[in-house]
Amino acid sequence: MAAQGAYSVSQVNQYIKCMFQEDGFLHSITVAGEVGSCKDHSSGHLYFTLKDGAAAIACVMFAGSRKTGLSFPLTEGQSVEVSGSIEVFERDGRYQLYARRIRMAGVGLLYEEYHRRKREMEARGWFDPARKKPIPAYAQRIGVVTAATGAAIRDIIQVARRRNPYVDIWLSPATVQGEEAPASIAAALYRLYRAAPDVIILGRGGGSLEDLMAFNSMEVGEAIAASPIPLITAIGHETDTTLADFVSDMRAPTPSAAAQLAVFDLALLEEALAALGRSLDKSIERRLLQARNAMQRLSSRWESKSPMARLREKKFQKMLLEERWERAMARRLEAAKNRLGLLAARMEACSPLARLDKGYAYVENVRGRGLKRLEDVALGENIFVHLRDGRICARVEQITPGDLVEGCGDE
Amino acid sequence: MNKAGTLEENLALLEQLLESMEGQELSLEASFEIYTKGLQLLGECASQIDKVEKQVQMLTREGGLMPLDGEEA
Repeated sequence: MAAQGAYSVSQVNQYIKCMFQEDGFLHSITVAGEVGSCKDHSSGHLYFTLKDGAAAIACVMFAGSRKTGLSFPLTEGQSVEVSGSIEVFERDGRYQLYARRIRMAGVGLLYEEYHRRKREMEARGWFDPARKKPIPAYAQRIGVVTAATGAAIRDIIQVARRRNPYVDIWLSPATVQGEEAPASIAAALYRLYRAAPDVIILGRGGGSLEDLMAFNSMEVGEAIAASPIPLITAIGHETDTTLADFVSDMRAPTPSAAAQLAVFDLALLEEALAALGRSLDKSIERRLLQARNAMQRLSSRWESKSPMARLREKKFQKMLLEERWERAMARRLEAAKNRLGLLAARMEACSPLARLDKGYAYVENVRGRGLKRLEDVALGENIFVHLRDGRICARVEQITPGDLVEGCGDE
Repeated sequence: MNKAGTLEENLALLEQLLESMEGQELSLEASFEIYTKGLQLLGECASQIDKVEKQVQMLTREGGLMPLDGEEA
């Protein structure tokens, strides 16, 4: 190039572009920063700025790189690491970072990793609802994996004591935070599997995403997935769902809540047992009463067919007959008596003595024969005249035939 | 713990026994049998709530159990 004279803009920009290209350091570089303004162009290219507290650099990611180089939606404020080359854009005379790959950095990286592991765990089937074990209603041995000196174990013990002081609590202590936490938690879980409690609580008292990272580890996820025992996770607050929560059989918001799920309320169970006992008694009583009634019905039916009953029946019949007989007899006697009375009265009426009462007399000869006709008597013969109060002895002085006295001696 | 069944199983069984007791077509002998079995199960359930106050124990690395210090917190 000539020392004097002016250069065209194009020449200068081309020159600088060459300088950038000659520097291998700029061909492959990773820059960390915060995403500033970000434009998703209709062409598919992504234009954004990367900045820190003091400076900014223009960046572009071409549509062709996005498929392989970016796995999350890029938005303002994210901390990212952008890998690519820094080149000069001759037309505008400025340099920019041509991004081939963008990754989350810091907390962002944790999120990215969280989602990557979540996909993997899901792919391995650890979240499968079909493999969830039901939490036993009456667990008597509760295994707990948590820090030996934390709020979590104290809360669990307190709830358990209140609901049912007769359950076992086995603490399998683990380091729940830091580098060694995943291995420590997994080992504590496997130790508990061998001790075989009825249910396991895996808990800790919350924390930031970094603090809870152990519960998002593959190691802990795998240990939970391998559990032969129903397992409740109680990690963090409502808002943080760890991967361990997805793998476990049940998620509780806090260790206290987990203890309520795992430890049955003794008073309630005792009440339920008493109620069962009462219904059992009631049902057997009812069954007995039924049987007794059925027996009663049968026995009274049987009774009616027995020989004794038949005998009683015959006796009764006989008694009825006897009564009828007696009544008939009595009627007969009465009738006879009446008739006799009538006859007696008639006879009375006919008695000669009765006639004497009326002033008539009865006359007989000395031989005691009643005189009825003239021929029954002779002149000079003595006769007896019977009156009511005695007799007269008389002599027949005269016999005069005629009608006058006829009808008086007849009956 | 016991071969007859867990507390849960016993309770479920009790419910079942009661239901069959309430069915009408049961013979008296059969219902007595069920009744005695139910009483037995009730007793078993009661004894399964092993009413001995339990200590909180710590599982050691070797798999043994030891009382947890300062548990009375």
